[in-house]
Amino acid sequence: MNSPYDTYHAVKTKITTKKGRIFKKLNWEKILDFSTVDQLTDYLKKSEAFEDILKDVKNDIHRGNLESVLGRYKISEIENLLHYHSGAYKEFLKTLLTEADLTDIGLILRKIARNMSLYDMEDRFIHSEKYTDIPYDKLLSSRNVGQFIENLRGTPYYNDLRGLTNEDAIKRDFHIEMKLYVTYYKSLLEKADKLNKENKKTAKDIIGTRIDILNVLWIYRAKNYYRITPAEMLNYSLEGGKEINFEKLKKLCFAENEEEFDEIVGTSLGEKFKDDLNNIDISLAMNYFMYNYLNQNNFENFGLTLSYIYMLDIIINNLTTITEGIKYHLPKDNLKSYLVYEL
Amino acid sequence: MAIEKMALLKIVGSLQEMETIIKELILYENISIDTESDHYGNNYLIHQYETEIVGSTECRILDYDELESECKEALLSLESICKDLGIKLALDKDLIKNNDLSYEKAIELLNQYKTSKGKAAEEIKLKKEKIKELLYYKERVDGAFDKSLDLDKIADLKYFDYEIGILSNEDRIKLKKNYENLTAIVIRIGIVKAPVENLYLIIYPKQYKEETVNFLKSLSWKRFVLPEKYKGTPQQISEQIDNDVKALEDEIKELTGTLSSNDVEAKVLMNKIYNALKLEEKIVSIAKHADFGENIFLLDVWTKKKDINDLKDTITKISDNIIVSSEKVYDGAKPPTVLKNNWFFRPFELIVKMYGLPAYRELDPTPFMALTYCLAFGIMFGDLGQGFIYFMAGYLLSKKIDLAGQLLMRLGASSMIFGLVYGSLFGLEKHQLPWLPTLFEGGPLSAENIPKILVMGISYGIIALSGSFVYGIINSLKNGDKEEGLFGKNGIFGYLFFLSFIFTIITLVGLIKIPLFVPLIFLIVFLTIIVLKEPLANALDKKELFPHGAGAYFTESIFESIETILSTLSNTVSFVRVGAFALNHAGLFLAFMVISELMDNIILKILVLTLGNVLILVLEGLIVFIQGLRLQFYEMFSKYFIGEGVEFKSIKLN
Repeated sequence: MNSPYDTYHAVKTKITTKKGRIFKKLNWEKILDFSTVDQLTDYLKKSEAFEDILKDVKNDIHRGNLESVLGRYKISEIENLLHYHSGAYKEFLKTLLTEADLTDIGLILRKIARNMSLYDMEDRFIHSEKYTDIPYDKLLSSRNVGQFIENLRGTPYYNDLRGLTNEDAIKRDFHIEMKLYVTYYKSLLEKADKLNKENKKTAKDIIGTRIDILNVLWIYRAKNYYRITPAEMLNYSLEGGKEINFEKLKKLCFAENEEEFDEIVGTSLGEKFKDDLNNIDISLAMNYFMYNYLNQNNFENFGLTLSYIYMLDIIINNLTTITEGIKYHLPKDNLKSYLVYEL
Repeated sequence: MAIEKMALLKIVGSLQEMETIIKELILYENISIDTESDHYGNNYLIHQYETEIVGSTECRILDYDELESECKEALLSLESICKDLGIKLALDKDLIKNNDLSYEKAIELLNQYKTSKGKAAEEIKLKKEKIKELLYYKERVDGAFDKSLDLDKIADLKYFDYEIGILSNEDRIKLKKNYENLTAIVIRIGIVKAPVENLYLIIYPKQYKEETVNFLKSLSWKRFVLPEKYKGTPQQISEQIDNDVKALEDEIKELTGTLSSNDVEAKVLMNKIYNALKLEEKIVSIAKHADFGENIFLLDVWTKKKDINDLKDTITKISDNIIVSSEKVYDGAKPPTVLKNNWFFRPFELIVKMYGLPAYRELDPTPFMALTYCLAFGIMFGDLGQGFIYFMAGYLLSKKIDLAGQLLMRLGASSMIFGLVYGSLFGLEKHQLPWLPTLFEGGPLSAENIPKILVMGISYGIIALSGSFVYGIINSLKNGDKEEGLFGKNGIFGYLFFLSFIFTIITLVGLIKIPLFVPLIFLIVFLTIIVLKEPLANALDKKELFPHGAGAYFTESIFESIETILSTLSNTVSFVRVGAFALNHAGLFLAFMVISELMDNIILKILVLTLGNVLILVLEGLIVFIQGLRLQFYEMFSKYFIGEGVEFKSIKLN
């Protein structure tokens, strides 16, 4: 893709097939009728898209496990897309793969902080074994948070977590997530800078949109659930948003009340998102926003690849929500209201 | 010139003697474990033997996974001790054979050593770590801008607290953007380069402690606290650390001295322990594949047929309680492959293995491949002088990498023989060197010789492909695949189709004078048979003709037949390259010859010709090597060779 449309047509064909396999063929009505996770697993096993990744999975799969398997599916899809991209585009996608490292690092760290067994952790990992630079064996051998962080030395995330104590890892759980995100998105935006002009803009727009909603979500959670000062909120926020720049971010963090907060969200990300934020589950609101954003833009460039990957996220979210719904015996119509249903 | 015959042995013995038996098997170095053994059948046998073999009933089956990890752990700790002591560990077969040290004793000795002498080693390690820690402090203290800064003066403020810590560059920017939200004095007091760390002093009112600390946490602040004993200005602290490091280094030197005094003794002991542990590790890894009864074990091993008696003697010598029986190879067993070729063909196994190892029941393609490959290389790169250079290069290489060198020697020799056929010495031909013998008067590039050489290439192709067909047919029939072996496109009728295809071409160009329809009729008949391969094979076996429906079968089969026609054509034409490269070889040199003729100076002439030869040797030689490989792998192997064999990996210590 060094000249923008070199392999664009190949990518487009590939993605159209992939999209067809996953978006059109999943019958959500039918999925919602399932009453056990096994039924869902069986259904997915028979679908063209998930067949390969699920074929070795036994029945009576644990819910968390299905979540990991679906997470790995996304990673394997990105790995597959790497073959159709080269140069800066490939590097960008490789960085995108490292998002799974954040999940896995957080997973191990939380268990270690709580002194929980690390048995069978490998089964829950979703990161790309081929492209990861994280020394997982070493991390798994850590006996406490201090050792864990020492074992991270040499990776981009060491700096984010150093100084973290065992107590912090439990009481300031968000620190792990947000700090790792800061580094991840920073490096993703750096990789976007290397793309050609048109694709750079698209990539930065998509990533920027993602950053916007993550920031809103973060500040919303921080204000409602954590006892931290606005200045701290600001420090944990991500830079590089599309609509919400640093000044707006600052205003969001320092907003005195809900109205002020809503006002800023409404003017920057639209009234619908603001309403969703107040009326439905916040992560669903976020998924809807991303879904609408991706759907409105008919990408004819690298955005096509990115939009496919982020759409996958939404599908996987839907499926994990359904497994949760099945577990808590939620009625179908109720469960429906937790899904991005237009897919 | 084939694949070595293998035998499956079942070794049954009492649990008590298992370790001894496995040790003997390891030292024998010529068996491999059958990891896919038939456990169901083995259970039956175990029942049968249980009463025949008398063993101590006290012997228990151990948890071999646990034993293995225990063994690995012991090895790791032994290795780390020996690394600190500077002792080199090595496997020693004689030592293993006569080692009187049991595994349990080895572990005991190791633990003893760890508690006595190991203490010193442990102390050295701790001191080294301490030095590392001190140097970490020193680096940061040395990074202070103001070497005379004295923090003791602000230590006892009544209303203020202070903290020193480290921030990365990014967090530093965040801090700057957020200054107005922090009730504290922020001073940057130093910097450490690579990776950049900024040293900050933060002074804040005591009442804002929690708020400030939390704010700093959100910046991944890492507190920097020196050990209590270091006090004063950075200059003074740096000196104090230097002194402590020096003292530690002296202590380490002294400790190393006490350890090395009984160097030789320790070395012998450590190596004894090491070998005992290594042996146990291997034994355990093999025991994991055994099947167990109450007090006996059963192990399936592969060995060469010719070694059976020797192996039986070796094992049964241990005690009367051991049964070694050669078994019929069960269905679905995958006997490992050992290639057995004579001195001439052996180097070519390298090339065959690049593609895949022949399965046990497959024909070994090495001899055929060696002959055809040498021939192709000779035809494409025939030159007495250049061949000799390859031969000598191969000879030198064989001292470093035996087989690769031997391979090059054979290719060089083949090139030399064809050099005599073409009459070419370092590219020079008969009209430059009249004494050179040649079969092609006027050189390969003269007008009447070009067609001859191209035809030679094709003829080579027809012979090589015929050989491949024969191999393919034998392999298919050996595996009982009648459909492919008789009627398939690489089977007997496939070959007949190929021959009639050649005759059609020969008739077309008018080389033989028969009416064109004669070979054409054969061509069509044979193609029809290939199209009907599945029903024909089913008819032979008296099965249903079209088990998956006739419509689908014919659609697929007709497309396949089109592919057969195209691939037969392209397979054959592909061999034109053999002739073409022979011409190319002469042509490339001709270019350098012309350049040299433009030169007046004899030295320049020689220089140009030498350069030409070097280029041909390096570049064209490589291309011809690859093109030859391509013909083997793509046109020939695909017809007859699958290469899904399992390598015979004899168990031994390494």
